[in-house]
Amino acid sequence: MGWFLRRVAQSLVMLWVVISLVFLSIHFVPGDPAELLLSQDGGSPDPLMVEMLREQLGLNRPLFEQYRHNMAGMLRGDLGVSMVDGSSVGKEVMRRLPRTLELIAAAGILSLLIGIPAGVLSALRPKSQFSRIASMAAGTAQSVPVFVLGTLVVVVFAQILGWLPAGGFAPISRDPGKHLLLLILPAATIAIGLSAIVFRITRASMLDVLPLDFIRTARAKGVPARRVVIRHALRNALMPVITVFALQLGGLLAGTVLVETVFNWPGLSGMLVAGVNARDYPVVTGVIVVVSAFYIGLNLLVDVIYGITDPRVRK
Amino acid sequence: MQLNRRNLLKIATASGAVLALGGRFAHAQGAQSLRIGLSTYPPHLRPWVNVGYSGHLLSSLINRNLINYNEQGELVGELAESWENETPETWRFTLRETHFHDGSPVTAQDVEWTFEQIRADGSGAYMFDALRTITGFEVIDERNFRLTTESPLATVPALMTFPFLSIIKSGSTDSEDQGIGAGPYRIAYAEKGVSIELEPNEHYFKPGLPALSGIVITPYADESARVAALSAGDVDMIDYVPWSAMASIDRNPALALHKADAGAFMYLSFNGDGVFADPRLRQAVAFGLRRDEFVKSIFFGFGAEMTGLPRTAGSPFHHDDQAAFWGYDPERAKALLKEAGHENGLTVSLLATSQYSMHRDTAVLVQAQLAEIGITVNLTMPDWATRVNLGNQGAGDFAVQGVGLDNLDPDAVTTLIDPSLSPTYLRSRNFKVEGLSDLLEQGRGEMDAAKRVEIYRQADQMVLDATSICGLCYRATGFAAKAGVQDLAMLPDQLSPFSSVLFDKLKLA
Repeated sequence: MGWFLRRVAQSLVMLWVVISLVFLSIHFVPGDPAELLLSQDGGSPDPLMVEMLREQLGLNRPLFEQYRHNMAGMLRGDLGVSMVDGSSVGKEVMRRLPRTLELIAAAGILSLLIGIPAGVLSALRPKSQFSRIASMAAGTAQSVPVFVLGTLVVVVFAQILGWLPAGGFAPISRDPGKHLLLLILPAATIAIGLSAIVFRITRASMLDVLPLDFIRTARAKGVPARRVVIRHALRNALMPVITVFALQLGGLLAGTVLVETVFNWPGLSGMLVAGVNARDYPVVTGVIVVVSAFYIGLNLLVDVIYGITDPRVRK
Repeated sequence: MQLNRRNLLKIATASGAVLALGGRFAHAQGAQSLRIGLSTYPPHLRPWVNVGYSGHLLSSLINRNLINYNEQGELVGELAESWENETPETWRFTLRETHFHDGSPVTAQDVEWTFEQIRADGSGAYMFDALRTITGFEVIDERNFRLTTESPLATVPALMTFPFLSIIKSGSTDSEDQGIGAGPYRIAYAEKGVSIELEPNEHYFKPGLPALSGIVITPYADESARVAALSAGDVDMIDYVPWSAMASIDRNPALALHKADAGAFMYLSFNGDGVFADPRLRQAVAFGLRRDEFVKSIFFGFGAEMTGLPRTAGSPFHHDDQAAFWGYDPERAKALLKEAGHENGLTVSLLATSQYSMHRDTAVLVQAQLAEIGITVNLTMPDWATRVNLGNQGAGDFAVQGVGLDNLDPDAVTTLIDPSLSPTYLRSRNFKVEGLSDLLEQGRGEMDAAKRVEIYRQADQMVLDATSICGLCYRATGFAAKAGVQDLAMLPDQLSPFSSVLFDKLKLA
């Protein structure tokens, strides 16, 4: 229990450090939100109006006071309001987060469905034609930048073949069919790179496990081959796959920005980019805090699972 | 049934009849909905605040101004039926009989309330400064009102065309952010960053319009995604067509490119705090640039050279000699440098931004071309927010700029050409062009059209000689649509980015 509480405390400190760093870095980057708000399309901001807006937005307060105000809000679970349109950052994050999570979840499931079977098959026959082709394909999939892949699938499946929409978003509550159609291409684009990683880890891990004694024993006892592979080998080989996969998913939360841009998927990344461009401090802080909390939480979860499965980790 | 020639004919006739009936049925069902791919989701839906070209597109679909421009660049009444200059300082407006989205009539009181909101302290309205020139508002009756200015002001009708000067129903912004407008459509559904659905306003004052059953607007901030959405058939029309895609769209028979070559424009502004206090050096820059290369390399040939001030061709304020003033003349540029004591070269800093490719590429090209005449240019290219900040602080010897005009009155360029106005990031600063401010003021107050033309001709010549602005090139403004989108018209030249005021006529074939 002590070990668990220590890990939770470490995670909270980490989160505080992240929030403080984000707050400081965005405030120290030049660019005044008030000036920007009043300078749309080359507008000519009146210095008096800029000053009034700065006061209204609380930007003329000392930095430490802004920081304290910001932290107090966070502790209350209040992420503040957008400087651009006055909307609640918390509500907007909560509206967009599920869309990004859905994209990641769909991509994750797809990548597991492709990566694990391919990795297992490749490990079972490491010198086969299939194994060579799969390894080559995985290498290619990992090296092609996601925006190139995204653009390519748009050109092929939307523009040339016309099978799927090029991008966009339809709320599932309004049009479930269209929602799913719009999900396919962005999820597949993320899944291609991710499945390559899952494939490699599964293959390597299976190659490590398959020659071990307990597999040989199971085979000697006459356990059917399929059962040996799935129940004995794969089960033991999955631990590193889960670790890497979980970390990849956490990274994807902030890393889907290009996919969301290419496919016009209105998730969290687009919100972050718009927030940075407009120097909308509460938006930037809010998004990063949520993403960081998610990432740190995911790490904590993996650690806890490790701790439960392997007591040595807790020492 | 045996498939012989007679039976085949019967089937064909029956099919034709079904198709014809079906077609008639479809027609009887009425208008169709148009899907627009927009370059940005407006930051908010509040009226009167400048939310960029894409925000204006939405605003002009749901709201109406008192006056607007038509395709020929002439002023036409929108909510105002007529207007007249009663005395040099007073203008009388008569509203047409029209209604807001909720069916209530548009009255002089609504106009008065709108003006009050714009002029309120901290309103953030785009017209906050411009409406300061109007010192009095008198409601005569429901449909008539009078505006008073402190001194004669010829630009009053043009002021009423300003983007974001929408007339909103009195008090309606209390209940909904965007208020209640009198435009051809009203908002039926909006989800921030995702889509906006518009439905027709049955009270719209133009007979038979709007023709569409609705409009669905989806933002596609990435330009490639926007073009892909159009060519894949996800949307029927897009705004802000990237120049790189104009040629391919133009070649595609299923699509139509609607463009104006002399749209918004790129120019250089100067900081008189350093070497550019000397007008000869500003002129040297202006004569040392090959503008055709800007059009070809940055805008893929979709634009035009800007060798004078932005005066629409065909307007009485356009003069051929002035329009072609800054030709490429490297010898003259070198001579000017020598005359100013810099025959051995000059090093200056240029402020631009790396965030927008047209600004970045313009800066790089300016650097390369000026090196040929002996000017070494050091580039500063931060992101846009930092660039605005640095510009307002007066950083850089000169800066890359890109804007459009808000209206076609010759006074519209005043804020760009007169460096004695309050310093901002978008115009030259720290030097004066002797006599220019007085002449521009005279032009604003002159009611005689012929005399105005002469005044602005003189003012323009002063600007050209002093080079308080250095024009580079116009960039084409493009809307692209499926061939079936009909009656897509555009405002002329520099107003073309605001063409959506004409989109009430749009229909689908």
